[in-house]
Amino acid sequence: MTDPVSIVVFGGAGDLAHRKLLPALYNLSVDGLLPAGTAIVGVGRKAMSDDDYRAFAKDGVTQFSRRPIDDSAWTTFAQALFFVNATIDDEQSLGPLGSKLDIVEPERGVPGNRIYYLAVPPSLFVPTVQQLQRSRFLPPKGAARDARPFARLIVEKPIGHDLESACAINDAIADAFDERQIYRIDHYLGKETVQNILVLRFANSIFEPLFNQKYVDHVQITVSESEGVGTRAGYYDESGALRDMVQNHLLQLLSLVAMEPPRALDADVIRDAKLAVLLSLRPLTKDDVDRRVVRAQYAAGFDMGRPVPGYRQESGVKPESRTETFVALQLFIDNWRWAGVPFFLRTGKRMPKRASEITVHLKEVPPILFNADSDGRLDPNVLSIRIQPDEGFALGISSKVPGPRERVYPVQMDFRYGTTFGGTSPEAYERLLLDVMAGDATLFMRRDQVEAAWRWVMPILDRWNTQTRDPLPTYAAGDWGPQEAEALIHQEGRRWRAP
Amino acid sequence: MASPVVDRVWHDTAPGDIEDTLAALWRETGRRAPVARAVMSNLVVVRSCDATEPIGTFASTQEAAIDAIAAHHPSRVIVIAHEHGCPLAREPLAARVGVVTYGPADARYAVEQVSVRSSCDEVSLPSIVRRLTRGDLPTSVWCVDDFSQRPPLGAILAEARQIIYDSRHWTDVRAAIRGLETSLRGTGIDFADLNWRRLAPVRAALSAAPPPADVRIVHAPGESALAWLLGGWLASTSLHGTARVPPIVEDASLRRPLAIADVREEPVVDAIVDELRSLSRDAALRGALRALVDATSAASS
Repeated sequence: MTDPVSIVVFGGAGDLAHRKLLPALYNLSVDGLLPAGTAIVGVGRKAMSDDDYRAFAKDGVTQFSRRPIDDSAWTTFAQALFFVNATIDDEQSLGPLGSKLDIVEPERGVPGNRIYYLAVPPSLFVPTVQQLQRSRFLPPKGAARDARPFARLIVEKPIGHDLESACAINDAIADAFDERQIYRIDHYLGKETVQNILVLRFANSIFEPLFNQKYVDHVQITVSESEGVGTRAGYYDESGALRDMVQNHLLQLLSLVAMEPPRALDADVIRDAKLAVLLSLRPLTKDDVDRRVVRAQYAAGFDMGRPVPGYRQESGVKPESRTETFVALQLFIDNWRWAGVPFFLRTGKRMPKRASEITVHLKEVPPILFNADSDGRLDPNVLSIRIQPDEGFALGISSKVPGPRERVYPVQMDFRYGTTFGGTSPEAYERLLLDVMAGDATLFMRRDQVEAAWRWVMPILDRWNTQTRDPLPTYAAGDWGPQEAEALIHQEGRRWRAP
Repeated sequence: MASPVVDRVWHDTAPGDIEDTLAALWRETGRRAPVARAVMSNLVVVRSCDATEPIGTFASTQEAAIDAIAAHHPSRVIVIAHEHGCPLAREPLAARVGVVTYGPADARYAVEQVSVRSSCDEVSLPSIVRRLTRGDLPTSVWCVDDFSQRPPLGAILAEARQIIYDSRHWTDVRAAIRGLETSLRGTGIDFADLNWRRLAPVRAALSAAPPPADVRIVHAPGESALAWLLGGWLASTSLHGTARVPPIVEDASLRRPLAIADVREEPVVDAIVDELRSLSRDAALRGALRALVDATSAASS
């Protein structure tokens, strides 16, 4: 159990807090993982009393918690909730927060440890951090790692909208916090299956010897959403799939599946190994962007039989918007392990289902013996790692069909968290919040990782910025993407695998 | 092939909640007794239904056959009962999910079934199939309808590795063949015609016999599709010395074929299970169908 702490959530009355953070904190409380005395202080522009905030939190927990709300557990948790109406407009604006903490922390026995969570739009990251610094909420920089009381900062993605802005945000945050105090969240990294990638690779002797160019034909990473842009049009239309998903989630998954074995399970050792993958990505030329990157926008189509509008018809989206809702790309990792192995990444909105999956496609067996029939080639072995939903992994292998004939059929060896371990897995935010409290940054992005990812993505953005008049491919809602994405992988003699 | 179902739990659900409801059903099934979750493929059963057909019965028509098939080739069974010709595109009307358990007490296994009653626009059906199929498994589509009345939907076939049908149900062979023309142009899908399987002994015998001359196919009533398939096969192989489909004649008095081998008869369930387990493409059937497409096109032009 970690020390009692005040968790100050800027944007505490916002959507993220309502849907994710407060339910996650509630579940940690129910599981006895929230240190006794912990205070959760929401900060926001809305005028709310503590009781109003508790009602707001209860609504979020009721709707979005992975377990039903329990009256007794709720009563305990609610006592830890407080709200401060504050803005970051001027130097005095955080005064009410200081006053509240001065009352709450002694009452609850919190010795000044604080976690500041920036659940606010990216444009407010820097002003908020600067206000914290000006208002003397932060201890001096350079304190020892285990110094108490501690101050830690959680930053939500996206960190910037390009390399330059990401560096500017990182610079501003670095003025106030040491890197080891900063926890850049990518909630994908908190999912059980993502954490299990390292266990799968480095705790089993069967897989790791196969993870290289000698045995792997190619790797696919698909992160698909069935939803449209929904209520996020304002943000999304300025961002797009490349910034929203590829630069962070997909490249983080890629670095986990492709990294070298770390020498220890230490946060910086693991993050060094992931960074090495990002630094080994083959840089994209203009020609590469044209040939190996596909962007598209969803048009009107169907979601499970229901007609849905196209992206440009969505509320809040500019009718002439060229924002991509889909990206597919092929990349190479120029290191000894992965030389020549294509990695295919794709992500999009309004695809047939919500799913995140990594598939490692092993090379075919030679076209002899059981694979001699040109009309019925054997399916190559595929290791699929399901991140959501139905977390788990499966290994596709060929097996003889029972009976007198020599027939071979592809079967699955399937592991599912839900049925193997029972119960429901903790939500990603539960694990990540717990790690911040414990000071473990393994599952968080370091500055150099974020900037390396942006550096690799920038040639795509730069190229697209010069192609403002080129036709933008479209795909019907409910499809797996545009024809161009099919062509991208077909020209390599492979095909996308649906999750 | 008798269905050894030992337990079945069903639950009505909203189309958008199918996976969550199924997950809950699996938990319920697991609480009753230890059971292994078995699945080798997606089996999508597509059939037409009438607007007057009560929604609650939408899965019952093929239920016994599906149970027996799933017992021997455990599949995620997805039944889509589709109301054709709805003037407005709507959401699927209803869905039911089930978990069906088989096997002796010490070796229980179960499969999941999803039934969707759809009145959507036809072009929206693939969005249902894509949502419900598992991408890591082969997908077979069993089309129950008579293709001469309802050609298979190309958009659904595009999701499949194999299409299973029975040409014995075709009331108009030429129309049905034309309905397959588009699908035949693609290279990927494996055609599995249960009627074609019956010709296997005849084809084997003809292949081994001296080349026949002046071929004419005479068939009993109700066997025109079989006769056409044989004609298409002969044309595609040129076994009778020409690439043309030989004359085909129906003879109401014909009781026993004059051929050197009988057609094969087997239970539909056995035939489907066998096809599901065979994922290699049947080049001979494809060749026969192509020859028939050419013949029907030439005749109509």
